[in-house]
Amino acid sequence: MLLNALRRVGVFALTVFVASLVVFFLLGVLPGDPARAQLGLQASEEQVQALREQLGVDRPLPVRYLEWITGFFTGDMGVSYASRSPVGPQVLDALQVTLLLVLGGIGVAVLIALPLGILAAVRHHRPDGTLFSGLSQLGISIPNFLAGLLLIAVFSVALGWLPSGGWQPPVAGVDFLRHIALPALALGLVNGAILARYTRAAVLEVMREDFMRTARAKGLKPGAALVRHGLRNALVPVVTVTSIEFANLIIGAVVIETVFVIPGLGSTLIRAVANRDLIMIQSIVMCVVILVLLVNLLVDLLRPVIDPRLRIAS
Amino acid sequence: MSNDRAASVTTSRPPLTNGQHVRRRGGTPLVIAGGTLVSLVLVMAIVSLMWTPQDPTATDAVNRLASPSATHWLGTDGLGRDIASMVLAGSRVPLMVGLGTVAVGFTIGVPIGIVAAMTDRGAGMWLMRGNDILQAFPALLLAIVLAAVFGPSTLTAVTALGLGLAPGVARVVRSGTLQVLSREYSLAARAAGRGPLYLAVRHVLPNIRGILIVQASVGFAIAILAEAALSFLGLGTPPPAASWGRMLQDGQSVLQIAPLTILWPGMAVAVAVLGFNLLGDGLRDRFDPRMDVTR
Amino acid sequence: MKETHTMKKLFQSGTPLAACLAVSALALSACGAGGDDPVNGEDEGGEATSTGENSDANISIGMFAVPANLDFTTTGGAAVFEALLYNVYEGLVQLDAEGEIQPLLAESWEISDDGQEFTFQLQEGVTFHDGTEFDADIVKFSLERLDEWSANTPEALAAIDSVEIVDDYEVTVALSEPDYNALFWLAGPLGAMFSPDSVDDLATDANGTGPFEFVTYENAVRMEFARNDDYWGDPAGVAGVELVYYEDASAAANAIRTGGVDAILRSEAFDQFESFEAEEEIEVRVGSSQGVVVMSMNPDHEALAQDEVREALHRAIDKESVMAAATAGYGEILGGPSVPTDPYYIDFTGTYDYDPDAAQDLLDSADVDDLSLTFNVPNRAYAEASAQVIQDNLSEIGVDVTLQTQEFPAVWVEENMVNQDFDLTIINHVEPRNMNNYAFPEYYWGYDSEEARDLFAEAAAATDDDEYASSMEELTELLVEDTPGVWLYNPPNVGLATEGVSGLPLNDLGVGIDLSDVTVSE
Repeated sequence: MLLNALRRVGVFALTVFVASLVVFFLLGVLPGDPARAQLGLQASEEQVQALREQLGVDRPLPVRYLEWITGFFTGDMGVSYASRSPVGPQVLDALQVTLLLVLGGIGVAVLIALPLGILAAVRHHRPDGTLFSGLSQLGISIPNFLAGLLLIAVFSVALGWLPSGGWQPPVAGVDFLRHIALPALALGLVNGAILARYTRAAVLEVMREDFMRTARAKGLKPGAALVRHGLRNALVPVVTVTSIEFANLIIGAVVIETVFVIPGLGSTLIRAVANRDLIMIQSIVMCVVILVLLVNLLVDLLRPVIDPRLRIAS
Repeated sequence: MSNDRAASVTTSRPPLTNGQHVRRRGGTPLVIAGGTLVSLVLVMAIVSLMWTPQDPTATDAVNRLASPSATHWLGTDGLGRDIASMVLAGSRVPLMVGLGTVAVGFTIGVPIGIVAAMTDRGAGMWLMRGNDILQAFPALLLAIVLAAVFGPSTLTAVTALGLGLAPGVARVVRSGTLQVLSREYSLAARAAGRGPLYLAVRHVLPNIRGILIVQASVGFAIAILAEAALSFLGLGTPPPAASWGRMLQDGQSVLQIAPLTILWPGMAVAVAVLGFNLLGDGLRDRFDPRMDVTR
Repeated sequence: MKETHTMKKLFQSGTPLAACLAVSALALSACGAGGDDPVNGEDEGGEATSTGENSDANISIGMFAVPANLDFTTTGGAAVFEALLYNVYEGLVQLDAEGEIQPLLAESWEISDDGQEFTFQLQEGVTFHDGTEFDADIVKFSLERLDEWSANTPEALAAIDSVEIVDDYEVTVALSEPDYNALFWLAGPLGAMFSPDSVDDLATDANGTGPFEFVTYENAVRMEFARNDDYWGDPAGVAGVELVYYEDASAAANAIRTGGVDAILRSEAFDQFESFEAEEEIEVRVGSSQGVVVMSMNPDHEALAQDEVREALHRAIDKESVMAAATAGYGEILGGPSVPTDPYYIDFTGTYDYDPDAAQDLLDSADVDDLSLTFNVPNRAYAEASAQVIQDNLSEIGVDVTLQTQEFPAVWVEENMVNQDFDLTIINHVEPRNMNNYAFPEYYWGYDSEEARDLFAEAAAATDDDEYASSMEELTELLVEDTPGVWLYNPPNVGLATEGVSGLPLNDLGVGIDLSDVTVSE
């Protein structure tokens, strides 16, 4: 098992390496000259060339790759073409914001998914169970940014309960919560609907298991039997899926951050694209890719630990 | 935003445990419901090719943001264009993007999956490794990067979303193929000295078509949502082509004063995605449930 | 109309504050200082009935254009200097609220008879925020450093030949040729005074002599200033300023509705102004801007090189509809390259009035049919809206237009201004007196006219306002006749302010947004 874990970590490292090559060379051909974009029309060719040299965009690609990748892992990600300040701190700040938002989104998703999924499973032959299933289907079909816009229209503009956008760090306490509430809700609603479907399927599965039949045969109602015996087992796949969803929520956050004017990875990425801020785009894309791979690795490593059935199988 | 649906639908059911090889003919109501909604969208697209109440690109800024009337059934948008006509014509771009995404995703994913299954050790392992790397690039992220590199267009969106769909398709196809290969007729064909290509075309493809149909349906749902998100970010369909995503972006600035501009395209997106999701679910229930795949 | 409405509203309050404002924008004097007394408890929450503004107050202002960094000497776009100039940085002279040139770091100046020597008497006792003393050396250093500028039209001051230090507080700026506009440009970003010690990190820090000290800039999120307690002039009216950046006009508008910011400047949420006007707590202030939204036609294109074709396109475009789509009708329709606040403005809107039939005739007489054009559109809401209306308009006369959306600034600047690879393109030129660029054939407008260049030279050599204006008027007329572009409209400068906020500049003069007079009453 340790060997297996080591192998997985090795594969992870290799994957990160190949992915970094892809990221670098894909973005190395990015059209648009960052030096010219920065200086504007009035700049002379000499001035632009000077800035190219200063930014290092005139050197051969392999050299730039080596510098970038070593810098990336030492936190020295280079200097942004646009803001002309170090990329590292900007990406790290944005990353923290995005991670908090994603955690909030997961919180909301779980709060929605567990009751909805369990109810839908327990009552899956009744009309209200079907209704719950239908609700989650509908939730999956609504773009999260549309959910965000509607939440702003209702809770910020019409009712005035919560801010329409912006961000406060966690040290701001209540203000932090007020600012994260709507974006986390927009993010979590859709993913909660997805998670509810997993939960429903997992619970249905558990309810078909022998020990549940026995419990019910002994006279326990399905709900009670589930709570007493099955829930823990049912939650195992749900936990796994929640961690997989983590990676997907990061992508969902890209759009949500734009809607709610939140200074996270997504909004920073979109702005960097508009500025053709090569170094910034590279660093953010690499960051997201590593996060996705890292979460996958953790899930792979943890799955046998949390799910005994899988341990035996492998 | 986009991959999550792939994950949700392809893996929304845990694998059945051994001894449950019960062939269910479930899913029919889902297929009917999903099929109806999808047909509705298809009919909209086809009708819009021949007729729309007004020219969907004709501007009339003097009558902008008008309320619904006999001429403008759903009112007009910020440029005075007819929302009803735009919603109709706006169905074409998402469907095209869906079609393109599925085409790209299948062209890449199906061969990878089949070859990986047939050469399970060695080359197959490397193929799936490459597949994992591709999977580390979420579709929407890929689309944003490609839009930055090649400029935003429907083509870049389709390419990126297709690339994003491919790894999931490859995984599902690989396990489907492995199952087919373990069956007697495959073993017999192999014993008879049939080549891998014969095997793939004669036995594998026909037997995994159920999976493929399900994946196509799911791919459509993903593509429609992603196209909307990209257009919303200004990285998708460029103007003046009507698309639901662009309508949502345009409507954002007038949400408070003309909520209808955002309501209709929003509903259209939801209906289309719901239709393809339901159809995919229903079809999955209908085809061999053992084809359900988790990793 | 709307301006007077706003001004009336300000004066109605009949407070000491309004009286102060009434004196003049310059003589703001003791108003700010007078507010030292602590907050006067609760107001009844009606009109701005404050008995005194709170000098300890902070103000949060939403802005709608994001500075890439803080260095406006090398970073294009108005967002950077709008925030910093007059607040953190100061120049020798400034533009007042009416656009008149007024003293700032120069107490006074004299211009030689030939118009080629400007002698400035400098303010004494002025220090930069880092303690560096401001004197003639600083002026020489800053103006000679214009050679290193690569953004914000440094060539506008290309006439500066030398800067001579007369004594510690007197300098003479010599021009190689007369330039009637020199003081005007010195009042803008080009005239900003820098400390030699801080020019290495202009992109990330700002050290000036202004009424506010720069505190921090969280990239693309917010910028913070604090009152400079050692300011040489009248202290700023608020203790701190927070500029909050929005890339989306409606997000900013939502923020002021929900109390996220106290005011918004440069708002482009045109569709929401009507609903704001209905709300008592928020005041909509519609002022003027220097912006010219122009559709340029590339003279390198065979058909567009013909006068008749350009005129046909001009007449085929319904500017009223364009403006309705782009700004919900706010703004002034333009017929020429100058804006109503220019001293040489003439209304040319009647010259090429909207007439598709006449346009069709012009195209026919030029023997042009099946014209297909590529229209490069920056990804800004106003531009995308305008372009779609124009595309629809031009299809009426059989001109087939393909829209090509390009990200602004990076891609648009590269493709259009640098590579000049376009048939049609559109942009809002926000810099003041931007028609001066028709003097340069290498500019992306590609306008090449000896006659025009002579007139520009004549205007620069003017010695009084009338002479200058008459040359410029003649020039404008020539430009309108040649119509290298279709001048569409002059957008307004709209500010939104919540109750109790006063002193926000009404007009956009294309220089810094002076926030020193802003006050907040409680």
